[in-house]
Amino acid sequence: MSDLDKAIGLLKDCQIIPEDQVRDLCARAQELLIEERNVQVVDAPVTICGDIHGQFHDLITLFEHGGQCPDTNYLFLGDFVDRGFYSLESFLLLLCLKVRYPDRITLIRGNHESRQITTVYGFYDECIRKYGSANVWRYCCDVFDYLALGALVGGPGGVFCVHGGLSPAVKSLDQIRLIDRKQEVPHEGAMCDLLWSDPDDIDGWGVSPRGAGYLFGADKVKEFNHNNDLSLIARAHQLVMEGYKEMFDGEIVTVWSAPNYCYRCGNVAAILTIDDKLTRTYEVFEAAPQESKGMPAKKPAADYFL
Amino acid sequence: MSFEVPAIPRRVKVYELLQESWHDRGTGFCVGDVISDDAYILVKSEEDSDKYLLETKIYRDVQYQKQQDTLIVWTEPDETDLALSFQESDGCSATWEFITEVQKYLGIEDIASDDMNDTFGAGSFSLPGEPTLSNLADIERALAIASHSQYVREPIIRELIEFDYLGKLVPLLTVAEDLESISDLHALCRIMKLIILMNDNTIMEQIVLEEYIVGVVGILEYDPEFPSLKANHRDYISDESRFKQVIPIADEDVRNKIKYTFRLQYLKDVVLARLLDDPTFSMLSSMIYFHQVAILNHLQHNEDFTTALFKIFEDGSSSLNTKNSAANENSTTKATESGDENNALTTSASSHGDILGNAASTTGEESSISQKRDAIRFIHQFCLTAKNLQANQRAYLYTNFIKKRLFDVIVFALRDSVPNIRSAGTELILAIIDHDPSLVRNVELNSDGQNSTAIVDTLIDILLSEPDFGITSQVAEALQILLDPTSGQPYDVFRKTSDILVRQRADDPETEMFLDSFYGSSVGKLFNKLTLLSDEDVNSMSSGGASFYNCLCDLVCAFIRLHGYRSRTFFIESNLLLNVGKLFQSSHKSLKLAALRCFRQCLGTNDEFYYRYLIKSKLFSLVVDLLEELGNKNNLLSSACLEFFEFVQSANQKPEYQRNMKSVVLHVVSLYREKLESLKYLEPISSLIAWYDQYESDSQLMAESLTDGKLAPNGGRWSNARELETEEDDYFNTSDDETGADVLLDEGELVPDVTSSAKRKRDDEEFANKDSNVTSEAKALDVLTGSSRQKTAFDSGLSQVSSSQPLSPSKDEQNDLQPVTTPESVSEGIPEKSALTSEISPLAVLVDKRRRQDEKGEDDDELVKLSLKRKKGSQTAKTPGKGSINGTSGSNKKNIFAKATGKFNFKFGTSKD
Repeated sequence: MSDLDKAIGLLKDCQIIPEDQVRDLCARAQELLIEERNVQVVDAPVTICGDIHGQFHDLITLFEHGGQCPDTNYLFLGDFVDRGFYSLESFLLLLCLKVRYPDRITLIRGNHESRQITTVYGFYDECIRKYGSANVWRYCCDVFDYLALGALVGGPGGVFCVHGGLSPAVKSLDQIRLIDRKQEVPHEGAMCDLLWSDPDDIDGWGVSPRGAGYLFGADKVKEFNHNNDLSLIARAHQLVMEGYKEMFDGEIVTVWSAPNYCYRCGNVAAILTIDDKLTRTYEVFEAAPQESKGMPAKKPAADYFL
Repeated sequence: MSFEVPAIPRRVKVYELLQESWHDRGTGFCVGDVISDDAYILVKSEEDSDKYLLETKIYRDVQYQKQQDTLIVWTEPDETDLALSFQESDGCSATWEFITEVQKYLGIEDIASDDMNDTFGAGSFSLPGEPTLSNLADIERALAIASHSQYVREPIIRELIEFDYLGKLVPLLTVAEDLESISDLHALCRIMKLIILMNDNTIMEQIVLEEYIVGVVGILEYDPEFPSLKANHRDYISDESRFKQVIPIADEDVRNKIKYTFRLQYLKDVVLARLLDDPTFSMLSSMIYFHQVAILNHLQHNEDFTTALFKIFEDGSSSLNTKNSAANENSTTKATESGDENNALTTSASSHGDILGNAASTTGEESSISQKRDAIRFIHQFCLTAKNLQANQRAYLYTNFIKKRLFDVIVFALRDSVPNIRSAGTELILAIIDHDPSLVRNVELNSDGQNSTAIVDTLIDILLSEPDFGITSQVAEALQILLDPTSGQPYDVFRKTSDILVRQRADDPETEMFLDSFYGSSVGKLFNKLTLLSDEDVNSMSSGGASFYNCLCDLVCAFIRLHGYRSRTFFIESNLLLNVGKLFQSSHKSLKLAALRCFRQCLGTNDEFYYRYLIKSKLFSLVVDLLEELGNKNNLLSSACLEFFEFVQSANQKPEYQRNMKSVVLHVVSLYREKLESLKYLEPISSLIAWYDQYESDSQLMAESLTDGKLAPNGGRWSNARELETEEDDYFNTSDDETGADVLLDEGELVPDVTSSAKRKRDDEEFANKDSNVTSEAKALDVLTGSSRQKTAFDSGLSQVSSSQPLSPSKDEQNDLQPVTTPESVSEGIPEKSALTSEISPLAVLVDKRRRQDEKGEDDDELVKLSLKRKKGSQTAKTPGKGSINGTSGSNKKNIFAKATGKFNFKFGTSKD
């Protein structure tokens, strides 16, 4: 059994792996990710998953519903970390699977895969608590910088997958190619918008209440899909109580994969499978039963002076 | 039975709770009735007077609640939740009176001796007097009702406190454990959760007291939600050894506060992690915060304490240790690298001992080192906690600590053999820099003689020798921030995004001196390995080595961006950039990328000295070769190459870059045309060649017209450029730096004046406007930060792409949009509500706003068109049918009801909204 398989085994039990293994894992992941396109081409059939947000047990449930990797080909739309109690285990498991089965799982970047955001929304604190230093956080953030910004499923008439949405600076998929993505998510510009924008019932572009990215209307979605020969934009980034929601005559869909978000929103989650005929199949699932989750808690400080 | 039975029919709506939401059973008229010995409430439908919407008996055991003036809520014995909402308040009070009278009658008859009932009055509500295992259910029910009714909550809380209910509940834990009664243990746990969720400060303060805390967390170990699991909170919380005192804290009050804080934190993060609702969470957080502030303020103003603390590092042996341990760093580090901390402790302790010439480590020596390490951990925790203090309190803290030689402590930590102590050392520096980098810089400058750049040199030493890559990158970060003249200013968030703007402060003499000193002595050492890099080094580089050079490249990029002429002089004179070029041959792709980014950073400066150096050294060939080598591959590296050429190419539209970049284009295309032709299918490359060809044909035309003795065609775009080019050639033939500066300053005005085709000009102006907007933003920032602008270069790269879209909404539209988007602003779900506005720092929002405002001043025609279109759009946006994405659509009717019932809305499941 390789070290990697051992690590996968440990992580599937929700246990963390030693720091030097994380370092090696991250280095290997970087080597793989540097070869990926800004918009990575993914073959159908593929199962597309939305935000995970550190809800490890729900991620395990997701694999139970969608099939295990590598049996099922997966595409995760980012936001693996923050908010839940197991960002570390969730992200490292996905990363291990990526390194182990590079062609069977694709990870793209979400707005939470950023140094600034993770220091505020929990991932940084979690790393400090679980490892006693910020090293692991640093390794993970370095990997974040290498993650692809989007993915393209199927050939003509295919599906463009991205965490947030469209950008006024991006008219065609080719333009995304001209981004040097290895950087912290900027506060504006194409790369920022792809990770932060939201669809809305407006015409054209609107100011996003999030303070980053834009709101974009049906016209922009249809224009983009038409110009780039796409049938669908699959994105995540917004909680959907029903797990998924199609908008604008089915030209864009929001997929949300964190059931009972933050352990209390009461929503269900969904994953979307696109088959080789580009047929969409949604599978809805609920939060893992409490029992299987064990006692959720943050690891307490060992010693204290203050 | 004799009561005043409310016989006048009162108009009322009847609601029933079904699956978490209230359903309207209908509207009717409510009366009371007494049949034989039972009292009833009856509601007759107003539509069908034969139909009863409600016929219910009044029970003694049911807790009826009156809320607001018009609402009565209760749970039937069969668990049905019902509510009566009266049209008039006197109807409600008449019915309420009837209920309380009936209950009093039933109560007095049955339990006449219960004086608790009298204490709290009929119709109100109370806890069973003495908690026992047999009345746990009653207690739980009482608390459950209290938890969703403000009306009952207050008296219950008063009762909990006055009767020391906690003190009486806690002993039941032992009883239930002895009886092994798991159902009682679960009931106790549910009761404790309910008490905590009362969210009362006084109760929480009581819980963390010595006499309660163990019992309370003990009760919480038996969580009915995890019936097969049991936590071990008691062991953890009662382990007193966790509280370490480096210097004994004399004040008992403070000692207790420290313990309470720890307990609160433990409750918040571990015991109650899942349970807490937002109000209780923030109550715990703020209690912790106030404790911490009190503790820190007490300790930092306690002169005896701080003096004793720093004295740990002052004894004779310690200074010796500091130096010696540094000298022996490598050997001890290797020994302890893989070991855990305890091993490390003994190993290093003995090596410290050896240094001192002792054959074996003495107990005294060992304890002195572990005491120092504890002191470092203490100071580390102190300073990290102090991040929560107000700026002036923190300023006092650091000034005071620095006076007591905090930096010696940090140097000691940085040279320690235990990785997490070194890490604590760097984090301490980062914490100070975070507060105010000038504190570190000043110490550097003030200390005289051998210590003049102790901190920076120590950081460099660690960067060069540290085996733990996590620490290496942390140290690199510390160095970068320390040497960033813009850091520590309100807008230092810009540091993070390299391509936003470059500023240099010229008017801060301390920073200037600090940089002078760095470039005088330390920079050579820092980049030594890079300036001596051989091809062989590159070929045989390990992945650890690659990470190290990656770090150095990041620093090169940062210094190019931040240090203007200082770094330029060094990078060019030391030929460091040539060696960065060697990294293109590395087998580590991330290193190739890092090297490429260094060159890209040079272009971003718009500094012709860099441009000329890159041209002269033929370094562009590396990028062209890399792109050629990548060929059809589409990956991160090829995207970075394309972005590089896209930036070169797009300079044609950016007046302030155009002139400098033209020399690059001329150089690159004329030398590498063949290779580039084969890459022409890539958009940026074909544009690059097109620019070159355009220039060639224009200058040819120009040459012809000049030889023909005719005047240049009226305002030909490139004719002027040609003149400029001649000027430039002259310039390039001289090497006078001063002239260069002058030309640079003029160029912006030279280019946009050219007029040939109206369309072309318009485009140009759009870009010019764009760029000047951003530049003015940079200016504004400079004004805000109180620094004068020496030279502002704007590296737009990506943002250029976005700025070419005249799509930013007008201000009108923003206003129109606002109310429309507000309901949607819960879009990422309930807890994200705040996130939507706060996930990006307020500063970013500010900048964003400014950006949008700036963009507003673009092109008037365009603006009118846009806002007209947009107004139409925003109206359609107001049509309903949205909102289901965030799950709020279903709550509309609930909200209507909630509005009418005020506090009652807790029960409607919308409290999270």
